[in-house]
Amino acid sequence: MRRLAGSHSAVAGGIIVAMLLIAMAIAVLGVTPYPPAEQHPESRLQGPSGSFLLGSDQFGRDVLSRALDGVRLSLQVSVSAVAVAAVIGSTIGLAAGFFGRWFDAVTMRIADVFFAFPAILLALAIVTALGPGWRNTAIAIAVVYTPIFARVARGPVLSLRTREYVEAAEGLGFHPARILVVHILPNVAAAIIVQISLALSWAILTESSLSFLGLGAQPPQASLGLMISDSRALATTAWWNFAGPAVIVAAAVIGFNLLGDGLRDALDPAQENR
Amino acid sequence: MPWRYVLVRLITSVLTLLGVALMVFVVLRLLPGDEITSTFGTETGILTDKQIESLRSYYGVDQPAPQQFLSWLGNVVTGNLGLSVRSGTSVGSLIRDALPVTVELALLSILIGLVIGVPLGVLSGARAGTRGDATIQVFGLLGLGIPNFVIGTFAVTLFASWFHYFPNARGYAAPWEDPWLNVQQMMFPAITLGLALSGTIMRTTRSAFLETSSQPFVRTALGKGLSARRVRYVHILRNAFIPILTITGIQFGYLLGGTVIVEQIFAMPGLGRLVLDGIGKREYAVVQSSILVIAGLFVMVNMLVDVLYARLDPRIRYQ
Repeated sequence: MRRLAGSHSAVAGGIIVAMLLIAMAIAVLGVTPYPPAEQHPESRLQGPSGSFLLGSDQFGRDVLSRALDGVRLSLQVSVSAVAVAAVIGSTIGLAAGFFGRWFDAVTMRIADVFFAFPAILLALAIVTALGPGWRNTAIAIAVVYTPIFARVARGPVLSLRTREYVEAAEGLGFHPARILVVHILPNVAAAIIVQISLALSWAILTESSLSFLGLGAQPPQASLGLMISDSRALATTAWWNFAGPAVIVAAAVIGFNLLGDGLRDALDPAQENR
Repeated sequence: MPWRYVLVRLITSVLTLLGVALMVFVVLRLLPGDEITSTFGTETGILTDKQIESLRSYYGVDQPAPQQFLSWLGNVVTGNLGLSVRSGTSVGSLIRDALPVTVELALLSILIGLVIGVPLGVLSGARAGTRGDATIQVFGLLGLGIPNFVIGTFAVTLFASWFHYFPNARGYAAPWEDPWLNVQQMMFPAITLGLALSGTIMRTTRSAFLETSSQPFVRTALGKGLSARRVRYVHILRNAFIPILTITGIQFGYLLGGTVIVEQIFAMPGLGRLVLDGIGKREYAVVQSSILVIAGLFVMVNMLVDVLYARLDPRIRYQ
């Protein structure tokens, strides 16, 4: 923990992530300055001011309230997708590394096929097949990230399973599941935690990219990608429709990335900083 | 050259591509409707049973799925990618037109990424721990973290809406037709993608540089009186080149994904646009083949990087 606090990137990333969580809490509790979908026809396209801190859009909706709700949606999609991917992917990876043989060979060849797609393109294809919407975006992100977690978890298991203490546990006749959970998982956890933070960064990027392309959250749902996409038509008259959401998306992506870097430095000092 | 290794790598690449084809086929098979409903839309409802049956056999959708897959695969291998009903041309010719745009965009982006990223990484590594290093690192982080659709939207807004400068509106000009227009069209999309890439390349260069500079041969070179500059750019950079090459190869996939978004923003008629247009118009023959081509490019580049890697670093041996 002390090493974590000593890392500049972990601290900066932690602060940004904490702010995102606060933004999410505000949206979840419904205490945004205005309801995100509330229209104020008399004050359309107002610049940032006391009553609309980040300005208002073409329907007179408050950009700040919508952005906060967008953060909520983004985190909801990303966290659920990454959680599913981390649990399923890590389990497969642990098992593949531990049992080896054909199971390992088959799962890793399947993972290779997943890695042959640019990630965003794979997500795009899955969302196309399932239909647009934020739920399907979450499913697509989970599918794309599962093999990545599998590979991250598998790597260290390969070397761990030849260690004496693991062989001793096997010799004592413990059930493989017990050995995996009690003896191996704690040593792989650091790598998985780091990967979770980096995955969240990428998931937020993907969620907003897909909704930017019109394949993620559908209007009138507020989403950061959609807001940026909509702002294109208003570019010359109302820059604040772009500025607020753009800064927030970038901060979210950078925040989780920094946190991941910091966690890697703190938890996994052996690994070089790439 | 380890020919045996090249051969093994070639075979695994082909197997991976087969898996990719299978996955694209399966994923797009999940879609509601088939070629008939996507071609005729709501008019499918007024077709008689007999007509539907003959259409099903015409499109081959009455065959069992494995057989459909094999015949599709056979067509792909022989270069017959099907027909785009909306545009009335073959998917193959659509891809032939779109491919050069995407490849040029990707190559230019890599070039920009390297031109910005490598010198910055070396500077940052050489001044590790100073304020200059911190500034460059922040730049790298911004490049890495600002989504390309944000940078792209910003660039389009700035130039198209405010300065009324939008060279892409005039249709794509190949570099051999109108080089000047081509440069104008490619410049901003390539910078958009290149900036993000330069962040990653900068970080890799920096850490590779730091790692290499602690090696004894660097001390020897400095000790025999070579200038710091020469040691930095010739001795260290040459050895730091392998991780840079690797990360560039890995990032190529990211780049191909990025072209989907950037082509859309800048209205460029590349492969990514083809995929998105196909999705919008429900032309799955187009989507299927374009995705396959992009994944194929990616697998090929990864193979090239692996082989180059083996060639560049004689210490690397493959069994």
